Amino acid sequence: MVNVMIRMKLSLLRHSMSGGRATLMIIGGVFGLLLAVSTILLGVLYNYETSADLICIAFGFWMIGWIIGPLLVGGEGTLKTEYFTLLPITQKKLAVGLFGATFIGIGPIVSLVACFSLIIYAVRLGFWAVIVAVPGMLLQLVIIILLSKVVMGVIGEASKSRLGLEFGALIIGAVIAFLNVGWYLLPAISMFVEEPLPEISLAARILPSGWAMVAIEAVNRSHYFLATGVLCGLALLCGLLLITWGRLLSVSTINEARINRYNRNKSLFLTWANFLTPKTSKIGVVVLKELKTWMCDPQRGRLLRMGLWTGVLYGLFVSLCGVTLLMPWTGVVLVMFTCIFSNNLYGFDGGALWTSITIPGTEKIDVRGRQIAWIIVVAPVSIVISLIFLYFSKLDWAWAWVLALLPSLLGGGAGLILFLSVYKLVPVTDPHRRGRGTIVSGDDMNAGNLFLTNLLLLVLLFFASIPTLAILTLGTLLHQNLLKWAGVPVGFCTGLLITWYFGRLAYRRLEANGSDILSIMQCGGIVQSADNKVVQTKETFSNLSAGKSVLVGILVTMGIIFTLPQGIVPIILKLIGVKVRSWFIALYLPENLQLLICIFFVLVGVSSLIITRIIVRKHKNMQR
Amino acid sequence: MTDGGLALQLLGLSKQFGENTFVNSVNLTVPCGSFFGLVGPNGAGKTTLLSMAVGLLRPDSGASRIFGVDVWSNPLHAKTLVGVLPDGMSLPERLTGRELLTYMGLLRGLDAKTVAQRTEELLDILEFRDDEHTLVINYSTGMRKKIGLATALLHSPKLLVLDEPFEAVDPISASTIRTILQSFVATGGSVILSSHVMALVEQLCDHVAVIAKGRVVATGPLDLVVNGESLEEAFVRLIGNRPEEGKRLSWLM
Repeated sequence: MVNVMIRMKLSLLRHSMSGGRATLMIIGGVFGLLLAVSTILLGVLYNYETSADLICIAFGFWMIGWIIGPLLVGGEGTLKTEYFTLLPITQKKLAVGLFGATFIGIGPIVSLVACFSLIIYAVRLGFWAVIVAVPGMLLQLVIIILLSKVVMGVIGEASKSRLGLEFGALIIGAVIAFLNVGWYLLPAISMFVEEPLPEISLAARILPSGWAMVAIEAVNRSHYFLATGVLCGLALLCGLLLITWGRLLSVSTINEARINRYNRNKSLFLTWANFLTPKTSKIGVVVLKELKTWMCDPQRGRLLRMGLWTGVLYGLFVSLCGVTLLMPWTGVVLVMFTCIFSNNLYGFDGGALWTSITIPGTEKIDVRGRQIAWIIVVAPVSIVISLIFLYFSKLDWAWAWVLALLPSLLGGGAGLILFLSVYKLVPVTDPHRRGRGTIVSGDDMNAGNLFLTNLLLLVLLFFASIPTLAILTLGTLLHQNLLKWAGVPVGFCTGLLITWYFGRLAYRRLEANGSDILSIMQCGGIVQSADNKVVQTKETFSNLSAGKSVLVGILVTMGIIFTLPQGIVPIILKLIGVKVRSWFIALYLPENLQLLICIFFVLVGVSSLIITRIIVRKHKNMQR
Repeated sequence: MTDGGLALQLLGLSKQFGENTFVNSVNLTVPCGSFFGLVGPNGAGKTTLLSMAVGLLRPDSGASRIFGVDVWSNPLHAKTLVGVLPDGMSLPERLTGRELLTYMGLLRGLDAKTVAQRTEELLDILEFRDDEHTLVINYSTGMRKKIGLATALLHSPKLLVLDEPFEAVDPISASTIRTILQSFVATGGSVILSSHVMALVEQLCDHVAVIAKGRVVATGPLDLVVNGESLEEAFVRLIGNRPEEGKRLSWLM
């Protein structure tokens, strides 16, 4: 059974291996391996106690990573439970088979490497410690992976109701927000190495991710009974998680998602939207249709909520941590994440595009209607949230910055999302073929290509904000309040211009190539050539070779990180005299070198982006 | 194993979604060796009923038995007896037809040799030879129906439950499927299928049930249900919505 499921998964992976997916896999693998090696180093670089504490904490993070990773990528993965519903297989066998197939992937391999830190640490303690470490390591790995499956299953089931959908989006938002402010933990870890806190050591051992270490330490202190007990506990937990997962698998296949088909949304928002939208105008009808889709479609609704919750919780986290400097940016962060999650707007609707392209002259109305609806959904929330956090941050200088950047980003988003969803469409499996779950899997969402397009969106959003940023920086540097506040109309005009121009590009493209775009959507990005060989469609990143895709992925990531957070942000911080070093490498260097290094980072970052552009253009020319 | 010669027995099956009742206390019996047609207007509850009958959707109340085996208390045994073609089924989209049949056969516990032999025959008879390396995602609606039917036939079931098996299937393939199903029934197998094509049901089936608004309005041997009329006439009489003569759209030429 396990053997067949593994073969099936390999076949599915082989047929869906596009450039974007390969890129994501390799980049993920390299980062994962670096993390795994770092975990191993934790076990050898420090004294016994600190190493043990740090390994336990690190495994706590591995466990959290395993829980949130699939939540971010989405869904069950390659093998969906419903493929096996009609087969006479027991829940237990199905769970074991799917669990076995889970090990085919980069994640488990990288995690296994990280788990070797336990053995390497045990070698320092002696023979019996190693004997305990081997089963401890394997059981711990199994528990971490099973826990991830169970959490995913519970959230998937919960998302079948509207309240659960909201809650699931909130959890994911919290996780992303935490990741964004998580780098504040880095100094905390170095503080912990210097001055370990017993409470944290204990907490890291209470979590199942620390139990293997407890067993190793127990055997080292000759507490053989405790060591055996802990190992039995690990085995018992494995069994319990497997049984729970089996139950969830069987429930998930026979419980219909109620919100998918049968519930009509009766939200106050839609009632008002319905009342206020002029249904006599064509554009009003499109706006209303879009608003309904944002509220009712589980996938689009979930993505939108994820963006909104990420912003709100980011604000709450930085407020709770007392980082007032970051509080004013809550609304800006909210808009950026909502942009990321609304990217590929046309792709989400799949083949439904036919309704627009079969009615002559509706492309323009459709694009403009979608833009207006997106603004209606995102703008009020982002403005209110910005005002609240600006007020409570008590940072007067930030008002002009936020109020200028907000319209620029909102307009930029409304223009660029539509532009990219037509020009860099990522084909997503058509809604009616995505299965019965409410959380669409990463495979169906074409997560690899979406990741690359999102990076591109961030770059374009940055370029869209340059005029506003320039005015703001100039005003701040020259201490000219009026000039600084001039950023607000500039931001407003830039936003308006980008919405208009990129929307225009989008509908013109739809008018000229609507049927081609529709065919890309309908076949989910994979078409069959005449000789029956599977080929990737054009118009996406996926037609790059795996090697080039990896290179492009690394260059774009490098370009963004070097240009923005390592280049421009520390320059601005220096110029406005804010003393925060955080993860800005240049700010750890001697004072006179800092600006130079920041500029160097910007140059390297921009060069990376230019090289990416050249590679993509050359590739396109070669194809022609 | 058999329960009074019944291939499928539905006892008081009900299903409600929100405030809407989709299936309301349905009792239905499909005799062994019969070719049973399930007809009804759109939204009558046919798909919901068949999904509950084969263990794809948990009913709010009632029971379903396949050759006397309860689908919900003994699902493993029941699933070995039945081959199902559900409506709008989720398939592993990025497998080829051949791979799909091979993996499903192996997962059903058939040995590799049998799976290979049956896959060859199915691909051949359902005319997949030219498309056996095409991914399911690129299949047309009709091809998806055919590959679904192939997976339903693979393990040599005793009962076939088919939801709209002829929908969007080309005439040649439809004829092949008809022949397969007729010979299956001739050798003792039982079939229950849903369809909107009255002529096809009339031609193939010996038993029929008419379902409307989640209730069975008539069931039994075809001759008794139609009572001298054509099935279409009987259907209209039973459903009670006679198409109005001369009804047309005011804006169309």
